[in-house]
Parts: sequence; structure tokens; C-alpha cells
Amino acid sequence: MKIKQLSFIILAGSMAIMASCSKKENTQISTPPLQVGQAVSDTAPLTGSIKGTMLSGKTYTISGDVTVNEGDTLLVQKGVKVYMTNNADVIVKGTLLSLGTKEQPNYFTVKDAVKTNDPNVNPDDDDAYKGLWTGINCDVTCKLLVLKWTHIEFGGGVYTTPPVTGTKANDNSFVVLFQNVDGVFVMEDSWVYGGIDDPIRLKGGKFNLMRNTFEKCGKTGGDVMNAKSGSVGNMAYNLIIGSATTGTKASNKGGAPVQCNVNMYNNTYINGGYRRLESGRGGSVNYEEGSRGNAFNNLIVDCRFGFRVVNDPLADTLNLKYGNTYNYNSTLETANEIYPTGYITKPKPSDIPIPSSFLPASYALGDIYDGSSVVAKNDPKFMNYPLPQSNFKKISTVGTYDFHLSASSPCVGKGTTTAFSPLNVVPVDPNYGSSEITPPGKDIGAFQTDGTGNQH
Amino acid sequence: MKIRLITFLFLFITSAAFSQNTLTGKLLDAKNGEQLVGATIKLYNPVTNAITQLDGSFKFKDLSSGNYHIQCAYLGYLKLDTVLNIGSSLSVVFYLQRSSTNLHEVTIVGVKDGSSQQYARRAEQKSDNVSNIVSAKSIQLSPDLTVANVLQRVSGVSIERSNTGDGENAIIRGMDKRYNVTLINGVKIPSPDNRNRFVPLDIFPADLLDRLEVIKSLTPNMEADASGGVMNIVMKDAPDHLIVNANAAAGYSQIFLNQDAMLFGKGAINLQSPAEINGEQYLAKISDFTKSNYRYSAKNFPVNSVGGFSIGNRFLHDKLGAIAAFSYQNNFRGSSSVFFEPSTQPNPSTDKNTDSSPVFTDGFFRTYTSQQNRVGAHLKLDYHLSPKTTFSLFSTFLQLNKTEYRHSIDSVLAIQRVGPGQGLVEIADRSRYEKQNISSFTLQGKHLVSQRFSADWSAVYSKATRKLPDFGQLKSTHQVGIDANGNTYETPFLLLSFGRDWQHNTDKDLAGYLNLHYYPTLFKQKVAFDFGGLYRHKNRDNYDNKYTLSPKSNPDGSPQVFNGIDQAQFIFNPANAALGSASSNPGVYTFDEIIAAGYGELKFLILKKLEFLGGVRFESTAQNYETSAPISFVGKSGSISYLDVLPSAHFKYILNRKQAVRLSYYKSISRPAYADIIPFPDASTSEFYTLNGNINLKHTQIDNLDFRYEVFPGGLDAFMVGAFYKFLQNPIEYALKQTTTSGQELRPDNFGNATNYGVEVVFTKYFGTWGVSGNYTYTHSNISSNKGLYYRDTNGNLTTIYVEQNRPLQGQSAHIGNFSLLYKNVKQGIDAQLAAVYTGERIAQLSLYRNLDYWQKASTVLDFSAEKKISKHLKIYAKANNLLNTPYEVIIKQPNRFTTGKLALPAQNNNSYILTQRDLYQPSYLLGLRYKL
Repeated sequence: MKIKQLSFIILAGSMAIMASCSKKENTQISTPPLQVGQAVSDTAPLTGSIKGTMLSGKTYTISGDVTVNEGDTLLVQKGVKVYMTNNADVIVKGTLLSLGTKEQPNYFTVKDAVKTNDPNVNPDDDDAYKGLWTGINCDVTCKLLVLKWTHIEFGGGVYTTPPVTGTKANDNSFVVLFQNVDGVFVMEDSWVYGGIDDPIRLKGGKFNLMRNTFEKCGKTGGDVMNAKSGSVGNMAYNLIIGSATTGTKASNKGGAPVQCNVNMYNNTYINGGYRRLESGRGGSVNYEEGSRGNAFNNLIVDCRFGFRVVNDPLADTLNLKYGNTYNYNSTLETANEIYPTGYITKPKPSDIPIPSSFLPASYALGDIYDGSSVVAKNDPKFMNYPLPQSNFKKISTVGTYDFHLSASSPCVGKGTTTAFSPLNVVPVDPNYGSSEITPPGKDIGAFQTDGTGNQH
Repeated sequence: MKIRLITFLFLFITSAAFSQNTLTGKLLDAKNGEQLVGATIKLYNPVTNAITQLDGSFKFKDLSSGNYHIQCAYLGYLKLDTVLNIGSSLSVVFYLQRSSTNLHEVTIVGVKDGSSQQYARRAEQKSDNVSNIVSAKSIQLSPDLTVANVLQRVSGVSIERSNTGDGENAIIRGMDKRYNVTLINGVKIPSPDNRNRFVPLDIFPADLLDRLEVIKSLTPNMEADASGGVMNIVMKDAPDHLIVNANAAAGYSQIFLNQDAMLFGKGAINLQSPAEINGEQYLAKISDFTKSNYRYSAKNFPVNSVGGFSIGNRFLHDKLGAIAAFSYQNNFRGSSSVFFEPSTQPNPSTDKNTDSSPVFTDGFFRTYTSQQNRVGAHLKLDYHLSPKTTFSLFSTFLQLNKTEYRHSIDSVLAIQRVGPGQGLVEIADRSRYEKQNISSFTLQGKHLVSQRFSADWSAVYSKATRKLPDFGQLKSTHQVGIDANGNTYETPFLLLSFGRDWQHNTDKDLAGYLNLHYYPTLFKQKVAFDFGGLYRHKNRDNYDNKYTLSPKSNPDGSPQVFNGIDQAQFIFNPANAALGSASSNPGVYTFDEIIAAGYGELKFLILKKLEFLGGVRFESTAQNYETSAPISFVGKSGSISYLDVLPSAHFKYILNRKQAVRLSYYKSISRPAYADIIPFPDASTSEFYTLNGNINLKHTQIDNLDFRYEVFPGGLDAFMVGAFYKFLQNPIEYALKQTTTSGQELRPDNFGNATNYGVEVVFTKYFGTWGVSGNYTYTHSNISSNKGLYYRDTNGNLTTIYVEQNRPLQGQSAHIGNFSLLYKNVKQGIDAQLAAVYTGERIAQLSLYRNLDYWQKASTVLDFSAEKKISKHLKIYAKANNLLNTPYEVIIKQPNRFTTGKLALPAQNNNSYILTQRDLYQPSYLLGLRYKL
């Protein structure tokens, strides 16, 4: 017996020594870039049906609605610029893959449209809210939409032609619409800038929306990532700044057989909810009407409303778990809505600030309370963003700010990594799926001090 | 005046013990035994007058014994002159002979007073079909101003009301309006309605009518698309002598004692949208949109006015007859409404066996002011070229302009509502100006070729248009909240986006009808063969263009506070919103329809008392439509064609002169309306939902079986009992449909097969000056369709499945009834009636979900009318409607969780059902004068 034990210890020990001594080998061998079908020509503006590959480094102009037909695939290799003109849209009945990289991101944008970080520009005059093209519209037949390291800018215009099922002429488009309950939608490490209504509308689908940055989304309304009945997946590690309404929203409206189930975690919500005209909703996290999921480790700064759970139509509170929500409010107006009045968000002891420190003992869900004691308290200590912030209603781009956490941030180490697991509903694949389904992080917010999470 | 004496005198000697004798009697039509009402009986020596009562009876009291000279006179009948010896009290019956011989159906020349109540009863009795007829006299005496309201008093008919409480559409024997057809003078007319073939009946002023016929079974010579019934609006015929009628009245709607009558400036409304004026690619400017139709002012004491005039005569040795009639109505109506808008999806139920629970997103508190301006004109010329040839020209023009203001307070329920009186509130002012008109021209010829052969034909051109220009709603929002100190605060109103929509549609019909009649004598009896057909080309143009104006931000980017329409500033956002929606919109379409039909029918006596009428009809339908949607749009254009073969057989067994039994079978169809097919989401028609078409909709085929027993005891009395059975293949109903968005639409669909059967009873009975009349219809229909069930499954997941559910047809009430108490004092010239209409509960709207249908609650509406003769030519009349202020209420039959607590909603006072809508209209009154030469 003793010999057995001894030999085991020796074996384990020598393995440990070998492991610690050997350095990980770094090998980079070139593989041919993925190409499907024929190369798409960049010599003339594109319109009509489209399939094949947009080649790395090229610039394409879309001058009229383009359609990826059912069974067809359009692949956009890294470092491609697609200029949208004439209020056109991209209709996806088949598969669309946009595979940008950190070094060579892709663009769906409008040439000469002006991006600005000036918070005082009137939204009426800002190209971000002009809806200069009408979005990526996936029909009910679209099996796969993958957007990696892709900038999508200035979308959200008014349809003159209803492109896909469930759209109407004269309606505002979504920047990206996905609506196949059995389809897969992956959007990772990407950027959305501008739009009029929802940037991302999910009317069914398996999805992973992770590590993205959303700026200036929605003009006078619009939820940044809005998932309806039939949608299942993660919204995590996103930085959402200056959204018109809610940052991440789940609602089981829509009558699909599959319940809307969304995990929202490690998102950073900055200054959300101020361009929505109607008061009463919008800002950060939102679960309503039969939706379920897990929401942890979210960082909410100066949003019009905190974490919102709706009572009637009732969110699926039996299957909704949340906690470790970090709230920072520069003013009383929003400090009074950390737990939005009129709804049924349960204050959690893991929330920061601790609810018992400012809610009255008699507090009942949805009650009006006085949040003055937490105004401008618990600065999350971003690398570069002054708090308290007086211009929070208008700051809606990242610009030179940096929402990474400083080492001394009170968000560090306050996240839970064990309360739940991400939804693994999309394939993990460098081309045809998610690059990485990042599990919940130990720091609250999108940026982890260990370098994981949002890579922007 | 030539006086001929034709008597059939029956004497019944009664007890005769007194010297002061009483003479009682009845005056009847010699041919059919009908009681003659209002006839003068003159007794000489000394001269005493009596007037026959409603049952044809008369009475002379205190007569001493002796011989009396008696004269009976009645318009249209030959005078009766006789001598009676009265020695004791006596009861007699006098029969009067008509002055013109009663015309056989084939007679093509002749004038009947179709407007009398007597004619109506007679025609019902003689008709080949199962029918109900309302005479002009009944209409005059009724409390009703429009045909729609008249119709609700016909057995088996219930009406759907508009949001101001006026009847609009008819449901006949539980069959929705789509199964019914409106004719003018027997000719089908196009509808100005943007979504229905059925002509909204509130466009017809009641006083243009000669009579209203509701025909409930079809013979082969009739168009086959009426399964519930045909409403034939028969306009006044040229008379045989000079007639001049006029009436004028003024009235008031009581609701304006409680709420202001709000009007807006419709003069500045552009009938055409900016893109129609400037071209399709025109980028509209904000200045193209007038503000004056969104400025409102209250009108003090809005008086309703009603007037009518008709004149008719016969010229050129009675060869040319002409009648012209005009009608004008200007009515202000109002209503107040509470409406709770259901969320597209209910709350889930805990398990499969429990129903989902309704949720509301908004509570709407609305007031309406509607000004309805009706103009009707009718001209008829008939020319008797020879006794065998007659030409007629009918032309009818009808116009209804509705100017409607709606003020809404929208209390948003699902967003941050802490309790009643608090939360997000939107205020909206809607201006709706709708112009509808119908014009119809019919040239008709009747030719009696020989005693055995005749022919008639009609050439018809008619046109119906509807314009809904610049329809929009100005909205603003604010919040009523409570601060941390418990004080209520209100945020300023912020301007919201402003939709402006132009819609118009035109239907043109060109039709030709030809009917040939052949009456040979076969096997010693007269047989009637009828052959004929029709060809109709219908063409519809539909236009829709909507602009959305967005509120302009303040210079500092903050939202614009709403300080009234004049200060409100808008922009187009995005810029291409200025194009409007017409350029590629399925709502811009043309629709052509060609109907070609032929029939053959045969009528003869199988037995001496058993009459048979039957045959077959063929109808071919060819439809084509083209929308301005892009080619990528499914359903951009389409063509649909079908042929229907439609047999029918009608038996009438004449038990005796007063009683008959009828049995009939016929097959009929219902064609989807144009808008039922065109996939165009239309948000301007329904008060509450977006409507859309369904390109896969099939036409409905219906087998109909009818039975009726009728007794016409005489006079105005009648008793009928009937039964019907209908089997519907592919019935069409509107159901709320979840679009793939979080929105819902009302969309027509076929729902398998349905059955519909029922019983009808109609009676009229007079007792001297008093009478009662009524009808009752029991209807049972059944249809099974898929309904959603949103529930938590055994794994704890929320899911939606579809389950079969049985229910009645939409709009069908199990019980409907009418009851009128009538008073008719001929001597004093008083006519009065108190009329009640009972409509049993029915499905007002289908829900997507099991057991969550919207039911209209049962209601009883009470109306009163009276007239009194004040001189030979003049009558004074009064009408009062909706005396009980009957609410229109819609409910969901589910436990009510909205009565107390944080979710409490106003007007919820019953725990066993949830109120979703309650409209109140208040009574209205009218007083007028009627002149008759």
C-alpha cells in the first residue's frame, strides 16, 4: 500500500515539474482563408441577389437591396468595407458570415457619413440617427448569421419596401433583424453605431451576442438588444453607451413555442434611456412578459432606470435569477430608480450598493423610495471616465473614455462565476459559430481586470 | 264619380233585446280578406261617421231600429253603398273591391302603392322567397332615420354599430355582413367601404325608401352571394297622380349636455396627399401638412336637422311618370368610451387545463364627436311606350360625410404604473374626415312580347367612392408620478410622432342583366320558365399614403414640450420618410372582377296547392389585382377564378288563402372582399387594430335550407314561424393574428366548416287601437378552429400550443328579438310606437387564445316614436332613440383580477368577467313636421 501511494506522489510531482518547465509552443501556420463560391465583384455597385465571397481588403458598394437567397451564402472576409447607399438593405434568406478580426475589422457603413463624439450635437443633426440604410434583415429561412469584429454604422432607416416577413413599408428598420427560431445568430467583438429603432431585434433564434460595443443606438426609442419569444442565448460582456431605451431586453411576446430565455451578464450600461420620449422604461436590464434567464455581474451607470422586472405582463419570475448588480448614479433622479418604481425587481444582498443601506425596512417591491443616500457613492473607478458626471444624458459614445476597470475598482472580484452557466446554444467554430462563449467573469462589468471579456 | 255597388254582405244576427242597438263590423278586402284600416264608414239619418280601426273594425252605438243607408269608402277601392235594416244589435262584415284589378306578377304596367304596410304584408305572402318587408309607412312611423336602424327591427337581423352608436352593418340570422348583399331597386351596388363589399347601411336616409325588402332565400334569378339575406332598398316609384311630400325636423343628442361637441376645420384639408399633388418621388415638406384640421373648437348646442322632399306626377297621358326625392340629414352624434387594449399575449396559465389570463397594455378613455352629413337624391322616370313596353331610368345619389373628432386619454398600464391615476399618460387628438358617396344609374326595359313571353333588361353604371384624406392623430405624453415624499408630480407633455394618412378608394360597376320569361300552358296548367343572366365588370382603385412626422428636438437636443398644435414643430426622420409610403405599398392597388352568370328556373304547380320553383344558376368569377408593392413582395399581384354551380328548389304549399308553408333549398357563395385578399396592413379602419388581407383566402360555399309557416289573418296582422339550416364550407372570419413581430393584426381566414341553424317567429296583432308586433330569432352556429394556449409545461417552460375550440360564428347571437307596442288612433290621427331591440351576447372579436374571445354583452335598446295629424296635410312627429342609454359592452369571460389592488382598472365591477370596452351614446331626440299633399 505504502509503495503504491509513494509512487503516485512521485509520478504526480514529476508531472508537475515537467509541466512547469515546458514553455507553451507558439506555432502559427497559414491556412487558406475561408472562401465560399465565387468572389463577389467589386467593380460595380451591387444590387439584387448576391452570394459567394467578398474578398479581404476590398471595398464594395451596395446601391440597391441585395438578397442572399435561401441555400446561398455570402462570406465577408476580414478587412472588407461595404458601403451602403440609396437606403438599401441586406436581405438574408440564406447565410451571411462577416469574419473580421481585431486587426482587420469589417465595415458595413456609409461613406462620408460623419461620426462624432461631441455630446452636444443635436440628435436631429447627427448622422447617427438619420437611418442612412435599412439594415441586415434576416428572413425566417436564414439559418446562420455570423458577425465578428464588424462595424455596423448609420443603419435603421425607413423601409420603402418591406424586405422580409413581418416588416412593413414606412416602418423604421432594425440594424440587424433575426427571426428564425431554429437559426443561429452570432455577433461578437463587433460595434454598432447609430440607428433609429432597435439595433438588434431577435424574433426567435439561438444566439450569442458577446463582447460588443453599442454607441448611439436608437433615436427616440429602441432597445439595443431586444429578444422576443423563441430567442435563446447570451447577451454578455457588451458595453452599451447612450442607448435610447433599454440596453438588453427579453420578452416572451410573440407566441413562439420556445420560451425567450436570455442570460444577461457582465454587461456595462452607461447613460442609457434618455432619448426615449415616453418615460417609464428603458435604461439598462429588462425582463418582461414571460421571459426567463440569468442576469448577474452587470454594471449600470447613470441609466434612467435600473434592473427592471415587469409585473404585468409578468416576467417568468419562477425561472429568473439575478444578482451582483452594480449601480452608480450621479443624481437623485436615477438613484430613485435603481429598483424602478412600479415594477417587481427584488433587491439582492449581492447588489452594490447593498439595498439594506438605503431602502427603508418597510420597502415593498416597486415602492417609491428615497435614494439620496447613494447619490454619487461607490464610484466604479473606470480607467478614464469622470464620475459623478453632469452630462450623462448626452454622452453616448466611448470616444476617448475608457470603461476598463482600474485595479482599485470596487467592481473587481464582486462578480459571481458560479451562480449560473452560459447558454451553449450556438456552435463554437472560428467561422460558422461563436469564437468563444465567455463564461461569467469575477469582475462586475464587461471588462475584466485579467484581460478577458470585452476586447475593445 | 262613378259609383258601383259590389257587395258581398254577410249578416250575423246577434242578441237583439234592446231598442238602442249597436252596429259592429269589419271592413275587408274582397279578394284577400285583408282588414282595411282607416276607412270611413258613413251612416245616414242621422249622418254619423266611423273610421275603421287597426283590425278593420268599426262600431256605431245607440242606434234605434230602422233602415239605414251605409257608405264605405277607402282609397283605392270601389265605394260600397248599401241599406241595412237594424232591428237589433248587429255584427256585419263588408268586403270592398279594389278599383284596379290586382295585377298578376307578369304584368309589366302598373302602379302599386308599395309603400303601404298592407302592401308589405301582401308581398311577403305572395313572394316566391322567404322574405320580410318593411314599408315606407312603417319606416316613417319607426324611430329610425337610417336604413340600418330600420333593419334591426326585422326578424333575424341584428346590427353592428359604429363608435357613435349608429347602426352600420347587418348580421342576418347570425351571418356576418359579408354574407349579405345590398341592392337598390333590385340592382347590386358597389360599396364605398374600403374593406367590405357590403354597403354600410347608414349611408341610406330612411325617407327615400318606398320599402325595404329582406329576402332570406335565393331563387336562381338572384345573385348567389347572399346567404344571410339580401337587403333590397326599393326607392320610391313614380305615382299615378301628383304627390308632394315634405318633412323637416330638428333634434338634439343628449350626450352634448355632458361633453362638448368638438369640431375641427375640415376646409383646409387637402383631398390629395403631397405625393399625389407633386409626384411620387416628391419629398414632402413639413409645410405641406396643414394644422387647421387639428385645431378644435366647441360648438354650443349642436342641433340636428333632418329634411326631406319628394314630388312626383304622371304626364303625357299618364305615359311618363316621374318622381324626385331629396333627403338631407345633419346629425351630431357623440359617445364616450372606455377601452382596455389587450396585450398581444396573455399571461401564461399554470397548466394545460387552465386558460391563459388576459393582460392589458393600455386603458383608453375616449370621447367622440361625430358630425354626419347625409345627402340623398333619387330620381325615377318611367315611360310607357305602349302597354307592352316600358322603359325606366333610376338614378340614385347618396353621400355621407363624417367629420369625427376623437379625444383619447391613454393610460399606459404596463409601464411603471403604481396604481390608479398614476403612470404614463398619452393624450391624443384624432381628426377623421371621411367622404363616402354612391351614385347609380339604371336603365331598365320591360317588354311584353306576347301573352306568353316577356323580357326585361337592365343596364347599370354605378360608382362608389370613399375618401379619407389627411387622417391623423396628434399625440403627446407625460408622466404622473409620486415622488419620494409622497407628492404627486406631472412631467410636461412631450410631443410624439404624428402620422398623416391619405386613403381613398373607388369602385366602379358596369353591369347588364337580361331576364326572359316564358309562360306556356303545359298539362293544362300555366308554367313559368325564366332564363337569364348577368355580366358585371367591377373595378376598384385603392390608394394609401402615409407620412410620419417626427417631433423636432430642441436646439440643445432635449425633447420638444408640447404646447399646442400651433407651436409644435416637426421634421422628417429619417429624411426619406418625406417620400411617404405610396411608392411601394400594397395598399395602392387596382382590383378587377368579372362576374358572368346565367340561370334557368321553372315555376309550376305540382299539386293544386303545391307550388314549385327551382332551377340552377352558374356564376363565374374572375379576379385580377395588382399592387404597387415591389416584385419581391409575395402577393404583389394575383389572379383568382372560380365557377360555382348553384342549384335551388322552393316549395310553397298553400294551406288556404291565409296560410302557407314554404320549404326551400339553395346553394350560395360568399366572395372575399378585395381588402380581404390584398396583403395590405391598414391601420386606419379599425378603432383598435391593424387590419390585413390574406392572399390564400378562399371563397365560401353555403348550403341553405329554409322552412316557414305563415298565417296572414288579415289587416296588418301576421304570424310566421320559420327555421333555417346552413352549412358553410370555408367560412371567412376576422381573427387576431400574431404577426411575427410583437404586434397583432386582424386578418381574415377560412376556418374549416361551420353549421348555423335557428328558428324565427314573427307576429303582429292589433286589438282596436293597440297593437303588438315582434319577432324572435334563435340561432345556433358552430365552428371549430385552432386557438393558442400559452401555459407552463410540465418541464417548467412557457410554451404556446394550438388546440381546437368550438364556438359560435363571429357576430352571431343566440337570441335576438324585437318587440313593439303600437298605438294607432285613426280618428285622432295618432300613431305611436315604443320599440325594443334585444341583441343577445355574441362574439365581437376573436382572440388568438382559447376562451379569451371578446364577447359583446347582451343589450336592449329602447326607442320611441309618434306622429299626430294636425291638419289635412300636416303631421307632427317625434322620435326618441336610445331611451335607456344602453351601453355597448365587450367582455372577456375570465375571472377578473382587475377589480382591486395595484392592478385595479376603472369600470371593472364584476368578478366573473373582464370588461374590455364600454361605449355610451345617450339618448337623442327629434321633433318634426311632415307635409303630404
